[in-house]
Amino acid sequence: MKLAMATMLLLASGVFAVEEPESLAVIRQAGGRVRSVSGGIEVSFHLGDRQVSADVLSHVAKLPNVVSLNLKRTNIKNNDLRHISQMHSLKKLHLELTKIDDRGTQYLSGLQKLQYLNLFGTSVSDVGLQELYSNRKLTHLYVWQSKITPEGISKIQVQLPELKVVAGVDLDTIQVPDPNVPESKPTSTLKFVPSSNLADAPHSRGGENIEVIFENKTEKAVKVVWIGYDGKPKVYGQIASGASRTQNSYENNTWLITTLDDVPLGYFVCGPVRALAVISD
Amino acid sequence: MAAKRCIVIYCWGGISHYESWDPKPDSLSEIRGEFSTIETNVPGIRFSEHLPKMSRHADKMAIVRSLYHKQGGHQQGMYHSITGHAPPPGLKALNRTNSPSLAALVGRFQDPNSGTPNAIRLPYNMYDNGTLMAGEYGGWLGSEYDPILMKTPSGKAFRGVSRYTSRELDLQLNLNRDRIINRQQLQAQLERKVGDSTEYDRLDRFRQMAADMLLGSDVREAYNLENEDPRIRAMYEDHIGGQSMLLARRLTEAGVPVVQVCAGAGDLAGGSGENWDTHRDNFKKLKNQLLPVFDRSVSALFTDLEMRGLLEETLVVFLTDFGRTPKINNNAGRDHYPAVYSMALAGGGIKGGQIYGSSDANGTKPKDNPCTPGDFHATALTAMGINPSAELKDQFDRPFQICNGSPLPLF
Repeated sequence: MKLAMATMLLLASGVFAVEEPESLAVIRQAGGRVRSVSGGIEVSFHLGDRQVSADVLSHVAKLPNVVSLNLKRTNIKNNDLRHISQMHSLKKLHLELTKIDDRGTQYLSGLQKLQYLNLFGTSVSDVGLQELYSNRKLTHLYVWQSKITPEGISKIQVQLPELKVVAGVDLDTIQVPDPNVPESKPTSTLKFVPSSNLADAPHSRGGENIEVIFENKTEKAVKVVWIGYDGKPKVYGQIASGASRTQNSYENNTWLITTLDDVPLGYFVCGPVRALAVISD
Repeated sequence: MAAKRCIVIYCWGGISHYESWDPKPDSLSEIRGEFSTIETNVPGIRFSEHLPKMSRHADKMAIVRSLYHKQGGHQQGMYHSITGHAPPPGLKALNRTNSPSLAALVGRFQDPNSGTPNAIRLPYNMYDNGTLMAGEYGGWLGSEYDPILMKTPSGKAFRGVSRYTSRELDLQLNLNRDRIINRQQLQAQLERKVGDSTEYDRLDRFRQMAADMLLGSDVREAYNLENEDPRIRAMYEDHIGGQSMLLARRLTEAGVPVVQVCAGAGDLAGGSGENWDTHRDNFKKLKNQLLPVFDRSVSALFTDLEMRGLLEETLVVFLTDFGRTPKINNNAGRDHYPAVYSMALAGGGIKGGQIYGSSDANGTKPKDNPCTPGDFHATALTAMGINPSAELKDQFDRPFQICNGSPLPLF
């Protein structure tokens, strides 16, 4: 029903001639999306189940004035692209992350309006790139993680001086942090001031943004309480016996430690750097 | 061709225009501040010295330096910047007469049959001292257009206070399909006993969507950052700021039309913590905490979008509450300043490497081409192929013009 309505809408808008609905039906059946964009029609398969046969592509080629075709991550094969070779209105073509290689680009050389071609993650090499020397309107070419080399890029840019080629970054130059290396232990330790009286804990004052790592070495769970700038206590959380908690804080802030029944055990006053705060009996 | 996707990056609290995209190196030191400037990859455009990576992407960005409005408070300033409309008095977060956010509006115009949420927000709600802020919701479009908040599943958190309600999605990716379906059945049984109510329907729809997303492979797969190449993850840095940008790329790539990222802690908490409300220690905070994460994560996003060939089709929008005061206060901070500020656009058909408008010599008011958040929104909507003069009807059939500004010539 949706399909019929969409077809009628497109027909009503004068986009398609009368014989097109069958092609439209085949395309939609294959998970393709067809929509009107400025200057023509856009067909995309990259958000469907991405199974696109040569037959489906032949139906895409029958639609008039397709300006954009997205085949990203689909299962198309080199030879299937023969159907695209006659789509002379095409300005944008997404072939990224497909199995296309140098045997596929020969079908693209006649696309004289093509401006954008995405070959990222394909096996196209400098050899296949030569087929694009005649695509005089090509301005954007994406070749990251393909087999195209800097030499190949230089050569096509001689042929097509207006062309921008995006080669992307070499991922091997990016260092991945080792997750097994723990964050360094703080070198500073805060003094635990034992006290059973809330009033002993000084009001917090502002300063540098630091981190406090609380470690509960007592045998019972405790509460971590921030003493506000106005002296009011505010509970931030609990720490089980033997557990630790990393707490964002500021220099000169006071952290009161209480039992789960809110009986004060003592407090810490933060210094200017990241520090360890060990809670002990 | 219009952009297909949109990533909105919100600098909650008000990023200083002096210390980002509109530095004033020739002003007196009490205005200029501590930072110097650096060249970008566009001759004649200079950024703050603490945006070294982003300066290599200036050729992708259109910076608007002549924005202004009249709202000196966070709630009102954020509302104006994020909706493009001046705030009405007595704002309340979930009031259905509020204007929709840019993300909600963009989501409203997308294909309703796409099978993805209309709009997603990451990784925090915006709060000010515990009060949930109005502006980042669907407003009069209705609750179905409220962008859904999802937690970014990894990365070191922004320090300070960030709050969640109980409604966010925290996809438990280890749940298998049968268990999810069992849960849905159980939920359906329980829910039959509960009466109808509007708010209840809203939650119900929310849960249903959560379940749909768990089962819908593309969005679910995109949410799982473990599927990403560890080198790409490292490029964004193991910080929630960077991992949220990465998630925004993955979600938009999977078909979500618009993702909004809060680029800082969620609650301004009186200016403490890692958010852009730098009343105290503006320079220390920006240099040591905020700008490095912002610089690296935004640059990684630009690099990543570009090398995948997505930047052309993805509009990146930078928004913030307002600018900061010219004069540095006694706490080495800068206060709120709506009289002039900067926001930026990139990708999605926007011509990069340009500055639109200017502030005066000391960054105190617009000099050339003054423009409003409405004009900025009209520009973003136009880039997305949405007519800013379009009218939509609210739930009571009342017509609203979606934007009252004029597009800026940034294309």
